[in-house]
Amino acid sequence: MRPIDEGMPRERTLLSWRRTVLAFSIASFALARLALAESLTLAESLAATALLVIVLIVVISMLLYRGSMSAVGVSTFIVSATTFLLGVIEILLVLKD
Amino acid sequence: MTPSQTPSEDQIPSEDSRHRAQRPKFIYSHGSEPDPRYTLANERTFLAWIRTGLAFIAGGIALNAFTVDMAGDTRKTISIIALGIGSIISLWAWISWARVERSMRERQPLKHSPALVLLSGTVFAIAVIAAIAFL
Repeated sequence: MRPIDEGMPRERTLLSWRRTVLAFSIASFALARLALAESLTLAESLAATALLVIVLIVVISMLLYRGSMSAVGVSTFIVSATTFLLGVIEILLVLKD
Repeated sequence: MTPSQTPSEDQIPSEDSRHRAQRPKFIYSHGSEPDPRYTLANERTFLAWIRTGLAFIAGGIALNAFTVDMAGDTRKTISIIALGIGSIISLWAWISWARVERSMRERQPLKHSPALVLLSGTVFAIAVIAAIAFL
């Protein structure tokens, strides 16, 4: 009997999205914690933006997994761009010290 | 569905028209849909690169946050290098995903990427700089 989903690629991809969200959460909240030393407003803005992106990624990954959405190109771009911005903001904070 | 409710062939969105609706167009307007397993594998590779970038960024943040006994501005320099590499990797991840996706759609061989060599070299360089600074 052949398995229904050989290698469970959808499940593996969903779990991969979850691990990425977890890594993104850790990095973004660490950045927000560091920004607290600079300004409370900046820290709150970063944390709020990070939370929004995290919720967005979780929803997108669920929709992709269920097959009710096919915007892989857009979702991968959002993740890529926000991670890039995270790095750039942190570089600016380090340079400001 | 009764025969009267059956949509005519021109009402059913074709495979090609659904692909045309996807973004970015420079990928989805070319070729045909590859095996979904390869598409998902490409997506997982993209996510693995993003996590690598995030690890670099988290490392840069940690290095900047903790008091580490290093000579001069070494700590700051390593932190900036790690953050810069993390940012570049996150952008590279998307470019690489797009290139592979398009190659797969066009049934072309995948292009060689120098990213792994550069990544290994950077990790080695950071480790050497940090080791020298600690001595």
